[in-house]
Amino acid sequence: MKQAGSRWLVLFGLVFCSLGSQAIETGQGILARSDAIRNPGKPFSLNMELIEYRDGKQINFSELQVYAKADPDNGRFRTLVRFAAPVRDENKLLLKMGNDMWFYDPVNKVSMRISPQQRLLGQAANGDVAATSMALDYQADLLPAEEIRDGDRHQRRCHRLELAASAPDVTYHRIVFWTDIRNDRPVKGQFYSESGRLLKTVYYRRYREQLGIERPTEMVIIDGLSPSWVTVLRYKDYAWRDIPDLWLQRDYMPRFKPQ
Amino acid sequence: MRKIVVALLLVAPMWAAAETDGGADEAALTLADSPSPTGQKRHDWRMFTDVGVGYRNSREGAPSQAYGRLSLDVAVDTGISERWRVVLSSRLDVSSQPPVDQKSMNTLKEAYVSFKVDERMILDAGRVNTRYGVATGYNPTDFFRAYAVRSLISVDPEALRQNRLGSAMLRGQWLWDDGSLTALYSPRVDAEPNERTFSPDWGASNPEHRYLISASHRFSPALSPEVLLYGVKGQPPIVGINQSFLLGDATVAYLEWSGGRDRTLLARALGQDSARSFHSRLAGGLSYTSPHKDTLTLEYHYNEAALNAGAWEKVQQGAVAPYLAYRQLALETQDLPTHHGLFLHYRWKDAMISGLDLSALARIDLSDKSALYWLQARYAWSRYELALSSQWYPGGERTVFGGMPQRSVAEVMLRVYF
Repeated sequence: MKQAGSRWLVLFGLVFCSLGSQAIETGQGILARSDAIRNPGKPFSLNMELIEYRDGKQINFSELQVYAKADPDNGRFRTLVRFAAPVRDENKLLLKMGNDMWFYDPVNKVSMRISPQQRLLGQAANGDVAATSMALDYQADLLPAEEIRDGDRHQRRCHRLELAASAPDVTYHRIVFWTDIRNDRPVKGQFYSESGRLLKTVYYRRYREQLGIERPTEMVIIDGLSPSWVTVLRYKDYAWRDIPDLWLQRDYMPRFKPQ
Repeated sequence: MRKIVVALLLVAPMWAAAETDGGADEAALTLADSPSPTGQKRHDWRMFTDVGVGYRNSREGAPSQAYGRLSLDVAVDTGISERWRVVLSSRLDVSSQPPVDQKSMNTLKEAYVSFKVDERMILDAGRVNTRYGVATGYNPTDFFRAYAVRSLISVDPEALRQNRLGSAMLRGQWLWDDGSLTALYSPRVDAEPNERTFSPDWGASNPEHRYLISASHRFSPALSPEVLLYGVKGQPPIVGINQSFLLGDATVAYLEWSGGRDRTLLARALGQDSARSFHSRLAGGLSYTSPHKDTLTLEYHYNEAALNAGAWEKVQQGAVAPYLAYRQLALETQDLPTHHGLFLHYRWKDAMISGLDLSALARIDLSDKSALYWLQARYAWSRYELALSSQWYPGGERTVFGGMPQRSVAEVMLRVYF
C-alpha cells in the first residue's frame, strides 16, 4: 500500500514537472528565440539580392547592402539600406527607424520622408528588407503544434504562433508564424492586413552558417492575392560591423559611402 | 451511401483549395530554386544619354515645330583617399529647334572636393548644388534656386532641381547622432550671366556674396525640423523652416516656409529701389500612397512678395515691357508670380506592369485660373528607359500659363545608361 502510494506520488510529481515546463514555454519566448536566429545580436551588415517574378518570368532584380543596429533604448532595429543595382537605382538609400523612414536619391540630393506604404522594392515591404524584431512588435499566442512542409520541401513539426500587432508602427496587423519545434528556426509565415486579407506567405529557407549560427539565407515571398507574383530575397556576406549612430540619421545620408 | 457522397462533395472544395495553395507555393519555391542573375559591378560614376523627338504646338503668331534633342549627363562621386572625395556632375543639352536661338547648353552642375576632418565634421569647397525644401512644386527655402537653370528641358520640378547650376561655396557640416549644423559662404564671382555653351556661368550661380546656416535635429520620430538663416550682403536675412510629419501608414504632411524683409517681385523686376517689407513664402501639402503604390501629392503655394489677383490683372492689361520683365524674373528665380497657387502630382510606380511608371502634374494659378498640365508614361528596363510625355497650357492671353509661347508639347525620349 505504501509502495503504491509512493509510485502515485512520483507519477504525480513527473506530471506536475512536465506541466510546469510546458507552462514556461510561451509564444513570446519562442518568437524571441526565432528573432535571434534571423537577426545577429550585434550590429551587422549583409548583401541582399531581390529577384521578382511574375507568371514564372523574372521581371526585376535588385542588389542591396543592409546595415542594421539595434537601438539600445528599445531594442528595435535601425536599418540603412543602400541600393547597389540596377544602375538607375545605384546609391539610393533607405533609412528605417520604425515608421520614421527616409529616402535619399543621390540625383536629387535631398533626404525625404516616406510613408510605410511607399514600398520601394516591388512586392517586398520596406520592413522585409530591413531588420525587424518581431518579439517587440507582436504579441505571440502559442497554438497546438502541427506538421507543415517547409521551403526546402521537408516535413517539419512546428510551433504555430498567432501574432497580433502590439506596436502602432508595425508593418502587418496579424501574422501566423511557424517555427521548428527542435530549434526555433522560422519556417513559414502568413501575413495579414487589418481586414483579414492574406497579404503574403513567406518561406524561410536555405539555412547556412552565418556569424556563428545557422540562419535563413533566403526568404520566398508569395503574394496573397496573386500567387504568381513571387519575390525571392537572398542574404549573403553577413559581417559584424561597427555602425556608428551617425550613419543612421537623415542628415548623414548624402555623406554615406558604401563600405 | 448518399451520406458518403454528400460528405465527399463537402470536403472536395476544401481539398481542391488546399491543393491549389500547395500548388502555388510549390511553383514559387521552384522559381526560387533558380540561380541568381549576374551581379552588377559597383560604380563611382553614372552616365546616361537622352535622345528625344517632339513637337511644339505654338500659339498664334509663332510657328509650330518639330524638334529633336540630345542630352549627355555625367556624374562622378569618388573617394580618392580615406578623407578626400571628389564630386563632378555635368549635363550637355543639344536641341535642333530650341525655344530660343541657343542650340546647345552645358550645365556644370557640381565640381567640388570634400574633406572629412573627422567622422563628425566635413568640409566642401567648389561648386555645390545645395538644395533645401520638403515640398515638391515650389521651394521657398531652396534659396540657391534663382538663375540656376540654364537649359529648360522639362517642367518636372525634380528635373529642374537636378539639372541646374550649383554655386561656388565653402561649406562645413557638423553632424551629431540626431542632427547636423551646416554653414556655407558663397562668394560673388561675376555680375552678369553668360550664355556661352560651355561657360561655367558664374554670373548666374554667384552674382552676390551670400551665406546660409541650417540646423536640424530629430527630437522624436514625429518632430525633426530644419531651420535656416539665409543672407545676401547688404540685405536683411531671411529665415526658413522645413518640417514633415507622418499621418498613419500612408500619408506624409509637410510644411516649408521662409520669411524676411525684401522688395516685392514687381519692384525687383522693374529695378525700383523701393522700401522693403516683410514677406512670407509658403508651400504646404499632403502626399498619400495607396496600397497599389500610387502616390498623390497636393500642395498649396503662397508668395506674399508676388502680385495679388488685382495687381496682376493690371500688369497683364498694362504695357508689354513691365509685364514681360515681371514674368521673366519669376521664371528665372523660380518664384510664384502671383499670391496663390495649387500643385498636384500623381505617380503610379509599376502601374499595371512592373517597370511602367505613370506620372502627372498640374499647376494651377489661383489668381488667373490658368494652368499647366503634364503627363508622362515611362517604362524602364535595366539600362534603358522610354518616356512619352505631353504638356499643355490652358489659359487666357497674358495669364501665367496662357502667356507661355507654346500651347502644348509632346515628346518621346529614350534614355540609355552606360
